[in-house]
Amino acid sequence: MLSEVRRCAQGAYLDLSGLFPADTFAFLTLKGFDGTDAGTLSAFLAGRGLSVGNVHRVEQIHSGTVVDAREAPCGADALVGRVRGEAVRVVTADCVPILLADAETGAYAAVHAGWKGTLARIVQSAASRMGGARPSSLIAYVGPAVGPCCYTVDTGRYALFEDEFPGWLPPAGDRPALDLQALNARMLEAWGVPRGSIHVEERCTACSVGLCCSYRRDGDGAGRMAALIGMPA
Amino acid sequence: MTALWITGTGAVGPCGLGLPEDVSGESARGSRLVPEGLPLKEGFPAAAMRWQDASSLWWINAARQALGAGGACAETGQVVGLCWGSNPPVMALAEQVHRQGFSAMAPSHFPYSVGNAPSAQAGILLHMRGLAVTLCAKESAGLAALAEGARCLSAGLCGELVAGGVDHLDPFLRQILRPLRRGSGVPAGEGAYALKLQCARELPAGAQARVVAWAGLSAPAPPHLFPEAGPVLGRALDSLLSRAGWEGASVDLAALPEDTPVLKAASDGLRSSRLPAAAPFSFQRLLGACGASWAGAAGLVSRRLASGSARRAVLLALATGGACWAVALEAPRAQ
Repeated sequence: MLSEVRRCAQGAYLDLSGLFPADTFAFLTLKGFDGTDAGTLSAFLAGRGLSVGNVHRVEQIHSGTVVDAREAPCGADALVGRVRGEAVRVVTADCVPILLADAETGAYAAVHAGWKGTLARIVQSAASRMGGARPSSLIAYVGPAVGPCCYTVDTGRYALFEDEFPGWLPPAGDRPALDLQALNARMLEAWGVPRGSIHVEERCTACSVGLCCSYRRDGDGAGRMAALIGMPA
Repeated sequence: MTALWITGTGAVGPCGLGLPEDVSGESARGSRLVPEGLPLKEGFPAAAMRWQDASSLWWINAARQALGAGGACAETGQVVGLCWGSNPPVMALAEQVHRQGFSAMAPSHFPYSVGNAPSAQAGILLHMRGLAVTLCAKESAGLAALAEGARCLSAGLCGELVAGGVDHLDPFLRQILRPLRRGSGVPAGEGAYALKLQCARELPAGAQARVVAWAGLSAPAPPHLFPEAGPVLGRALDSLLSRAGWEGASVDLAALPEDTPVLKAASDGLRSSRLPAAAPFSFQRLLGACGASWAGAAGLVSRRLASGSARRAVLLALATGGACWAVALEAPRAQ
């Protein structure tokens, strides 16, 4: 899927709310929209008529660590929230942003899955922390990330993934590349989330000049995209 | 109120440079492949052309044609849809399919194509400095790019852009696809097709069609298979007609997928039940079944709309993995 690009005073964004349960909102900000700035994000949410007291965030450390939103700020790469009037947020520029919501428990989560987080199966850890009795009640959004067209890796890193995900990777050939979106989506499916509830944004960040932030493409000037999910008060 | 317009077309496809006037009858000319000896490198610095991959070379030329004599402005953007390309991930996939068949593909096997090369090279050589988005949209690439381009324009991300698709069949890929295509009766296609889209309040010069509405949706399907076509196409058509504010009976031209006999049957069923006045537009017999050809179809449809031989047209494309794209076009002076 490719979500419709929208624009507001703060910049361009994707409105993902329609993918999730009715009382959940979810957005992904795009290049030029400074989603790392709390004030900008608050103004954006207020502009959408959403009353949100707290947008929880963590210091992202490329780990497999999942925390409850109330533990933030701290070092971690996924937050699980359960409270109305709050939201959780991660930022990415090539890593995979993943948003989760449980239609039964009302829990929601934001996950930052880089190669280390993917290898550590952080998305499954986050899903398991959401407290639902059945994975089938989970809805997932796997956001834009650097694709296998642009994410070549050395043979050592590729071998790590072959060991962790045997049979899930295409033959490396002379150009080993990783598809982190597909791996995370497949982990969710393996966890029991129905295929129809896993929405993968088929965009490569490095291939989307002017739309997505890409550290591989732009280096330190890449900026960051913010993926947030929550429930209004 | 601003509207979106198609104001230029370009093609480097089975018909050579440019699009044929019509796809009716037996106008397909010989080879379905891009003809040898096309002057694709003329007018560009030799050093820049030396190492161009086929996909980039074709896209640059299709985009140049679509832009026309006026060329690009600094803010001109691009959206390019890709399916097949001769790059290592695609070739690795082809080898796997060749050995074990399509059902052996893991989700991460389906190809991305040649990365951002076509739009990056076109951006440099045609001086397009705006948005540059490359999508891997498989069999619906050209229409996905058109819909995504319309989205970006309507979101105000740029004022004009070139949208389209490009596919390149390596001889090895062609060999692998041959038995599949023989079964469907539709040839495999390749080439590049581009459309210039502009956002304007008044009818711009050279307007061939108005982009009235667009829609995209996903249906769950394994990455190498089409979803059950009838329901997905029906939902996409519902969404499109609703957004356009049209009745199905008011559509007089419909380009629907005919990649396989199953898809063709579903398309025929949809047309007879939902689009009773729509003439079929079987462009794939001329341009071939590939993602890029949908942009070629949009170009051909635009010409029919501009000539007055049709008033309202819909295009619906379906890709393996379940993505479905729909675009509604109207004659430029229909309002």
